[in-house]
Amino acid sequence: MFEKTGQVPDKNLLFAILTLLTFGWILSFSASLGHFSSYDYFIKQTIFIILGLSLGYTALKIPLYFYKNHSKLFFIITLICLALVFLPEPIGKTVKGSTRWIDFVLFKFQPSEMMKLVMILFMAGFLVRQEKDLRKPYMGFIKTLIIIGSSSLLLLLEPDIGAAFIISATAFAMLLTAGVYLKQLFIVGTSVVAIFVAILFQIPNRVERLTSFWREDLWLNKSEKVWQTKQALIGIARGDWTGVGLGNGIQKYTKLPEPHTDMIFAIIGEETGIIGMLFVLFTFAYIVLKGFKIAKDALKNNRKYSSYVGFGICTWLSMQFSINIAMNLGLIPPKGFTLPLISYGGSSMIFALISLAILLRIDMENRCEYSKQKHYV
Amino acid sequence: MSGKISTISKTLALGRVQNYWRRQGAIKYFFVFLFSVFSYQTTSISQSSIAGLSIQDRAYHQAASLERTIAQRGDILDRNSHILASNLLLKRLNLDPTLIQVEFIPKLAHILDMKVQTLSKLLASKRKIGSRYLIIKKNIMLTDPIIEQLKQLKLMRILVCANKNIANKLDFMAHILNTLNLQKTKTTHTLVKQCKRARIAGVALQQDTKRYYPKAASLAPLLGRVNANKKGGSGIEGEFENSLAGRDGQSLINFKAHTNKSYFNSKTITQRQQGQNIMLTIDADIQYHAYEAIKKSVQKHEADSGSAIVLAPNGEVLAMVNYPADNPNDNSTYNAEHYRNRVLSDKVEPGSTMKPFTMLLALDKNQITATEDEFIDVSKRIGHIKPDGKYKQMTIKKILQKSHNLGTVNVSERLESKAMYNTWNKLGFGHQLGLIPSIENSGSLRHFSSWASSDKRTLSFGYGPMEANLAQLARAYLVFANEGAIPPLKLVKNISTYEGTTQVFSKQSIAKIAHLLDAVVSNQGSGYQAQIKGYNVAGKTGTAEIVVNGSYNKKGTKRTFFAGFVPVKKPKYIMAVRLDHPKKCYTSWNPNLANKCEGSNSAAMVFKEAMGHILSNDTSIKLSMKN
Repeated sequence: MFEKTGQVPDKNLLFAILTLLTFGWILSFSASLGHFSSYDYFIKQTIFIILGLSLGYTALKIPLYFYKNHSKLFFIITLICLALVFLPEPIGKTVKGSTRWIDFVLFKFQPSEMMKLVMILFMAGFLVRQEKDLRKPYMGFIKTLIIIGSSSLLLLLEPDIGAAFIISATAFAMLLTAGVYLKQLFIVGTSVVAIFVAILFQIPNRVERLTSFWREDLWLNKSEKVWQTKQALIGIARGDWTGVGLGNGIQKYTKLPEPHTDMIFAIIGEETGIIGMLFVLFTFAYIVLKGFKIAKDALKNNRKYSSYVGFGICTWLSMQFSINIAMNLGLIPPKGFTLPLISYGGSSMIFALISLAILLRIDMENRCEYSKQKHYV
Repeated sequence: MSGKISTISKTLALGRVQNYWRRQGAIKYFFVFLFSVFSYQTTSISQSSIAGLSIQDRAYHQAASLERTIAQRGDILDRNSHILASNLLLKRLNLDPTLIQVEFIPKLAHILDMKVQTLSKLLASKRKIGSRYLIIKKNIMLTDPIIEQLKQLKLMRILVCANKNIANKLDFMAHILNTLNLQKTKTTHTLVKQCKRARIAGVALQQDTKRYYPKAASLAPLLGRVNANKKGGSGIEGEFENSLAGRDGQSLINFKAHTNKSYFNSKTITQRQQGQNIMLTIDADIQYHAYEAIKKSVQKHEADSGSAIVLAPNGEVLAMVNYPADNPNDNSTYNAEHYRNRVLSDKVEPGSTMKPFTMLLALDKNQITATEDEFIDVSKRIGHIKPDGKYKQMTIKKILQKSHNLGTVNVSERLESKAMYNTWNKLGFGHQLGLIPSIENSGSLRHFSSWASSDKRTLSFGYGPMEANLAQLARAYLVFANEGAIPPLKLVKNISTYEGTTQVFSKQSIAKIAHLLDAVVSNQGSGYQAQIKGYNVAGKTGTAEIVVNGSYNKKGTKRTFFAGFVPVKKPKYIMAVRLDHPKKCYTSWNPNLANKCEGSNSAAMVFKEAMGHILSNDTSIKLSMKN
């Protein structure tokens, strides 16, 4: 299971990850302490980070072919987990109308976070195995749709539309880069959109509802969801360039409903200002660009599995990151998305760290001697 | 051959791979583009503005709320630091009709000593209009058992049932559509009766303060009282409103709604300034005795009103009383007349109480000697003042003792109008005293150039071109305590007045007239009813006719005065009394025999009554063996 590469992880990348992690750790501490007047969240988050780091360290030792060989098993286990949440309490756990958690007494485990990573691992394996199918019109595509559909259906039932969207979009992006014919993708894509539009037209006021966020003046919109966006913007405005100072933010107390998870970026904006926000943006951009580079290098070495996994991880994190930030900056209506590496949350933190460890591992495998590389995938 | 093919296939494969990384690159650049948009957006948000208001201003306004810190109103103290007006910390009970559970109403009604139906009705009527406030009881003392009972009630848990709307679960498709914001399916509700043991909700004891006047009515017209908005309305409370009230602090603070705790970063706009205490020169005990005496007298003589002022020789006001007066602690009634400070607000003609000053001036000008062998002719008419036929000639002592008008006019004939005007002016008539400027009536003293010949004559016995308030009259009598000098009056301690002491009469003249006034308060004088056993009292009675409809009313409507001081040598207390329109007076020898009301048989008695008590409490004055 474990195998040495004889290489050390990329220092710059590792440093960037740890910097962002520390930054997020402090800010989510500030936000949760302000919101709940309790240290519990800080302590839990610290435990999650330690757990994530140790799991990540383990992941550094595991070669990529291990995932490739066992990706089917992982996928099935995760699907079962996704189904487990529907069991009645005390196993399944419902919070605010969503059934997303398995209760492990001490902590709640969110299988949808695991699914994001497992889907990438499985999809990459599937794409490598089905390379020929993929180029065969529609066959591979249908198979892909089944894979994505099975997990998405479970996620939609929870409902966790955000996760379903992220997973599907990541899978499609991977499909695109795995060499699917564009014509084919275009046809299927258009038909999916067409079906969606057709459904849309069956529902009264559909377009208005969907676009109301952008059409209506944000500040005249009295709806409760938009309230969050307004408060996030106000918080960011309070911060200005240098921020009001760590711990000095006030939006986290009552104005923002989820300051330690979804709305953490607004807290960063308020407490550390534009400088803090740009720091997060640039650090993250550095990590992802580095990740894309690693994926490209792997592809050059003809290690398709690693490349797909690396690309998948980067796409997933970027997407999650983009949606969260767009939401905090008032560009899209608020939905439940966490900010990877920064938001409070055990499952998302642990899987983000494992994913990044896998990315580092791919890089290490890229750089090791040719003789060793041969059996890497 | 095969090797060639494999190389070709490898090259082909590589070509394909290159294609993929271009696709990867496309995705990558898509995100790079997004990140650039975000970077731009982060810098632009704080510069944006909404409807003309910059978002930062908006943030500032939203973040902070204006918090007032209420300044405590200052106390009013007397010269011995006894409290005359202070603040009581009280509680008031607010019931939130939207929260109180029906099951608790009987218990609450029991504590409040109300009927259950009454309370239910009250709550229901408030609930109907959606009000969250029902102040059911105000001014609850901290020691009130209600507070303890409420505490117990709040700990109690009883079974509370409520009908609750439980949302029915949506079916899956509707849920998805709802979440996607595409279709709004109204959730239906079922009414379910839920019962659980719960504590009472919506009962709050709120902090309240009440202005309290421990001396009740005795000081009411002087102190005034605060109105419903806790602002001083009249009297000291009104005059010194700014110092007493202090200044409420204003700060911008951020509130944590659910705990009511404020965040840090509060910004003070105005610093709170607590109200300042005001120490009056009033002596609460003297005030009390004076008030009781006036009250008794007004009731006995059926006067319309009565007022009195007691001064210390240095001009400090020891008491300033008025009757009728209301208890300011009773908020149920308000009669402006009962808060009228007649001592300062009414200008009146002081009548015969001014005669000693005519004599003093004549003495100073060497027009009389005021000895036993000097006789003033009172047999001839002077102007409209006719002789009474009882006396032919009188000594100055007799004139004062009998309060003889013609005798006084005769003396005044020897004086110049200018000299009289100057002296009266120096005595402060027609000038503001500056005690409570807002309610003070400074009286009047017409300039001598406009006097007719009769004006000088009437002025000599306290009528005509002058009117004064009682405090001015009392102040003029301070010359007897200051060897002819007159200091300014003082009502508030620790405030020094700009005005200095003015010398009006000579020391010798004062001693002579004081001696004569001592004789007035003797069995032979008009002030016989002011005699106090064991003390030498000097004083002068006065009876003034009141102008009704433009002419002096000869038929009974009168003001009676008494102005006096005690002891005669080195006076310690100077008191002036005024009764308006006393209707029932009695002879001294038979308390049931009705008599015409004059200063001698009404106002003088107030002096005796009040001074008797004041002197018996003052051990520093030696008893005189004369009486």
